[in-house]
Amino acid sequence: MHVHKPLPLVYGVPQKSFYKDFRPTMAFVAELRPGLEGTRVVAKELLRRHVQPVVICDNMMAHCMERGLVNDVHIFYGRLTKKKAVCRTGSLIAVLCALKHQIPAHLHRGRTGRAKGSLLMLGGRKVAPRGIKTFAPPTEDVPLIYVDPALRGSGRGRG
Amino acid sequence: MKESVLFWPVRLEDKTLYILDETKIPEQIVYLKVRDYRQAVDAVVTMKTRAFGQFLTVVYAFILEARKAGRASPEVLMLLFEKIADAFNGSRPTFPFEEVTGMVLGMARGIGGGPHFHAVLLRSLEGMLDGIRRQRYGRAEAAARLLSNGERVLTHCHVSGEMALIGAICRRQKKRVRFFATETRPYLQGARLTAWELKRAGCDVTLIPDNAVAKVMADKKVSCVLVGSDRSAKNGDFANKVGTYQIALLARHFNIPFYALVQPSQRLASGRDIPIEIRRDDEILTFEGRRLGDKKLQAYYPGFDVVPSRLVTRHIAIDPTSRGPACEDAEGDGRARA
Repeated sequence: MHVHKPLPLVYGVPQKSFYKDFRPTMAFVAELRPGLEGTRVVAKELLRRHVQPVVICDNMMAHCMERGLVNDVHIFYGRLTKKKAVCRTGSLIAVLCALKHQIPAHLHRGRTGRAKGSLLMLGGRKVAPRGIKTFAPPTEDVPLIYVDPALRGSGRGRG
Repeated sequence: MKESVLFWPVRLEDKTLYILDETKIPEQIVYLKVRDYRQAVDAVVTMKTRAFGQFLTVVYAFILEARKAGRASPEVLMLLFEKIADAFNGSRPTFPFEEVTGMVLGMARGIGGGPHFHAVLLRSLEGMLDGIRRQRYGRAEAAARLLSNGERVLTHCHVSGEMALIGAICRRQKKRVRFFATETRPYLQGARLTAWELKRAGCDVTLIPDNAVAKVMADKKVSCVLVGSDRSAKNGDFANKVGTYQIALLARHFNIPFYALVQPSQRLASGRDIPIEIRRDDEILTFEGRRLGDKKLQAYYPGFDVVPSRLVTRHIAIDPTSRGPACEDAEGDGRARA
């Protein structure tokens, strides 16, 4: 499909409470490799609430932002300290790219449990050579200096 | 030095073109047998071959048809060549097919007619391919010179066998270089091709998901980025597989040098002029026929993105006017600026 208007981008797995206030007509959902929770879990939750998910791969976020197709970024933490949020890996990409493109990044409570799925598999099929070394950390630290204090915990989506 | 099969993924034997089916790797090394230019165009459209394989497919398709045409007059052959050019030019938008087909047509027009038209044309095209092979080796040598002992290189997508060659050159020079390959969704060229060929070349390679790029940079696991390109603009901007722009932004943020293997072109003024191919939703939402999510999902799949020249620490260029190695320094000192 082609996208012609800016949409909010959801990166990570929110808690159920997030969806109450998130009422755009459409939203980008990052797929979240290796487990594809974005495609499978988040997109399903959005569909149930009549929000049309538009799935993108995790490597497409900056391009969508650069083309003016993203108006808000939403990331989700499992643990929060004074200086950092522990989020699903890739959240730091979402936040830094949002910062570079002057797009507001919102931080919400979410789920960052152990990522399911293997980097060697996709859709039940083997996708990488035998014996290859992999590095797929489930979480990463997002320094809070990259998230506007006013946007920690908010998150009404537009679009 | 043994070449990766992906370094020169197309070959012509008599009147059959053998195109490496890159979608079958790593399970199998299978070549599609192509007997006319229409089948060659189909191999491009269905992404059985990509990047440099596309370039070779175009040039070899002209040679194949010239061979098949036998004693046809130069005028008849030129008409056929124009049809072939049109078919490739309309196949996929981002790769510069017009430049490649224009180069071949220009070469054929330059020869004019004459009794030796066929022979001269075939010799010229084959000579051009030999030159390109040497230039690619030269570019790999230039890239290897940029890598120090202990370098930890992040790469994205696949550079048609050149990364494995760079790894092999570094090994020959007794430099220990470690590679991190992003898997490169949705077609997984990083997992299926780059990681596979680097491992086969005896290189130390670790596969990471596309979303772990900032993590490996923040943790100082990578010391530079080295990527290929599909199309360049006059000002040094270039298009490559989607995800490259994201990596370039992050490299700049973390002050990591970002190197790009490029083919300079004067045709387009800037990266903004490069058309971005939007591919079908199901290429993200299905994998090998299996649905990955709900049937009501939609997807957005830009095949490429554009990296502005300002984010490139150094362009490592193939110079079409020379036959030797070329390394063009875009920012002087070769290190990223914050």
